[in-house]
Amino acid sequence: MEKFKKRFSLLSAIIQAWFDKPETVGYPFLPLVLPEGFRGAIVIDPDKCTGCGLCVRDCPAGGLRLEKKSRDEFKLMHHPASCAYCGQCERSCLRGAISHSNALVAATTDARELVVVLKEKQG
Amino acid sequence: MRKITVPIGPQHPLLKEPLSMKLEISGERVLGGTLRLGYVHRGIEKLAQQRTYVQNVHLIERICGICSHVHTTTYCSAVEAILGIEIPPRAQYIRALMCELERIHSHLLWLGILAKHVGLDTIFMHAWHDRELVLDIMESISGGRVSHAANEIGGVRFDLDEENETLIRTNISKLHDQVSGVLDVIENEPALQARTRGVAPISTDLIRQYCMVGPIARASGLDVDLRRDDPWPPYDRLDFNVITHPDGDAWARTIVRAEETRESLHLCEAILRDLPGGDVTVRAPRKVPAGEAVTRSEAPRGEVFYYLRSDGSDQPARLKIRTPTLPALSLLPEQLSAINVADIPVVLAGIDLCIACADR
Amino acid sequence: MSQIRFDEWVREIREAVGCECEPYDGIQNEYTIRIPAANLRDVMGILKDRFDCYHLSAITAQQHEDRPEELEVIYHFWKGEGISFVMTLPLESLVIESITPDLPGADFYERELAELYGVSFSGREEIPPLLLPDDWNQPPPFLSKKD
Repeated sequence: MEKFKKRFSLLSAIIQAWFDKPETVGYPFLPLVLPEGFRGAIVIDPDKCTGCGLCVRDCPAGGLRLEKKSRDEFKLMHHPASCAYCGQCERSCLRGAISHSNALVAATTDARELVVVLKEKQG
Repeated sequence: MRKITVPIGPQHPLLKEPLSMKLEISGERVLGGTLRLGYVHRGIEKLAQQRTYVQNVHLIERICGICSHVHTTTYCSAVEAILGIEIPPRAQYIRALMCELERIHSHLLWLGILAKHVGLDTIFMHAWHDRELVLDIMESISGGRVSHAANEIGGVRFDLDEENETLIRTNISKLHDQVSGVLDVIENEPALQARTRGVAPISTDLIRQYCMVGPIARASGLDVDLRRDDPWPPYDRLDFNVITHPDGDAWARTIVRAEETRESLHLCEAILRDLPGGDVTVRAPRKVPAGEAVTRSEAPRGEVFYYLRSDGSDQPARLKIRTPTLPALSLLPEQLSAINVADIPVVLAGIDLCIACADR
Repeated sequence: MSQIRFDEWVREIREAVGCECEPYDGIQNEYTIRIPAANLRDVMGILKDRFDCYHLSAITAQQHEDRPEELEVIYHFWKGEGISFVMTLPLESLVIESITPDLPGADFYERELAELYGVSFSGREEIPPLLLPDDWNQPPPFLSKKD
């Protein structure tokens, strides 16, 4: 018996594998369930953002850019290709304006999609 | 027999990361070799001096793709030591929990790679399937599978809720069964034993001379584990066994890592059981006063060493990082002598190489 | 689990090597001793033979902003706790006696220092390139030298 076990230690695993369902998810044909805290695309609440630039200062990857002329005239941009999706901007924002959504960031063939204007305020 | 020199790498199907070896081969025997590193040298130490302490947390996380959390933990504790702040107990426990989860994930990944190299694909599939359970936990609690961004200076970013704890408990009890099953197969599988037993054994003396750390040192009978010998809280309050094995060959390393996985599962359960309440962060200033600090942690591969010097600004003046793969690599030429050509993959896999770590 | 009786170690090193070694409270979590660079090999010998402490964690080199004309080199040892040996070298003569013959584990750290900071190590075989390209002919990349 001991010898049998030694010879066929993998046997139970192999038999088990015949009855197991595939572990992979049929994405994109089936929906992908992402956990609640998943750090996906960057979104902003334009009412809360004041253009203070704290998120830009702390961004480790240079994924955010702020063009600021005055308090009332600024443009906050996000570069999805540079972004490291670390969530530092969310932590740095004092007003809770910028955050990660739960959505995946898809690959793109359109260069214009590489710059996302988060908020543009004109005086 | 004629001696020939075979270059392996920097790009080679055997290697997951760029590393260059020149092996002296005579017939089927490898006589010796030399190493070249630096193909993924990113200058992170220098780069860190040009970033703020806050930005560096995320830079440091990208040193290693497997043990990212232990790097940020070590870095953050160095900064906290200079700042003189103590993080809340709950944050300490969550940091340790992530470290242990990472150890399970790293060891299972390694087991899969070893099994793949010896041609035992069933174990490879099983180990990587089980690893997904750990990654699921880490993704659900931190939001990232590999780059968790769990640490910040002064604590951790997220808190565990009821739902997380249930998921961790169910997945860990599943893992207990799976790891026992895998261990059972490893211990009884003649093919795996034939490929790993007696391959490139290293003596304890050599291990000490080469300053080796982590599972490789423990597999050669050196009883060292920074979690026990030089602990940061909460490891000084947790009880666990340090696994050692006297043989020092690839087989001993397999057993040590597999048993360590099981020990880490127990540790995760203990951490969840003892998890204190309270806050998970304290406020940390952006500027760090002048000072120097050294911190060490036990990563899945061994001792991670950080030296940090600050000059009073918001950027570090010097950050020195020593990862556990570097001493392991310095012993590689020694191990690559007097083995068969067919054993090269096993020796390389047995070390658990992480070239990106070693090069920084 | 403290295995370092620091005062005793400092006294013994001082007696055996006869060098000036001053302990100071510079680095957190670590015992620190400042020694002259010329005595490193002797101190290392004492450490290994007398105290059985030869786990070298790392070798750090750094330049202080206020002292740009010298390079500070720190050898970080460990035995249950960390113990560091700090020495300074003038930029004109960056030479240290190698400890690789006593401690083969120091090999990669010394080679890293040699390439990135241009420190030369005496008493060991020639240092083949480890990190930098074979055809590197620039000055050491991490060393900043003001002319």
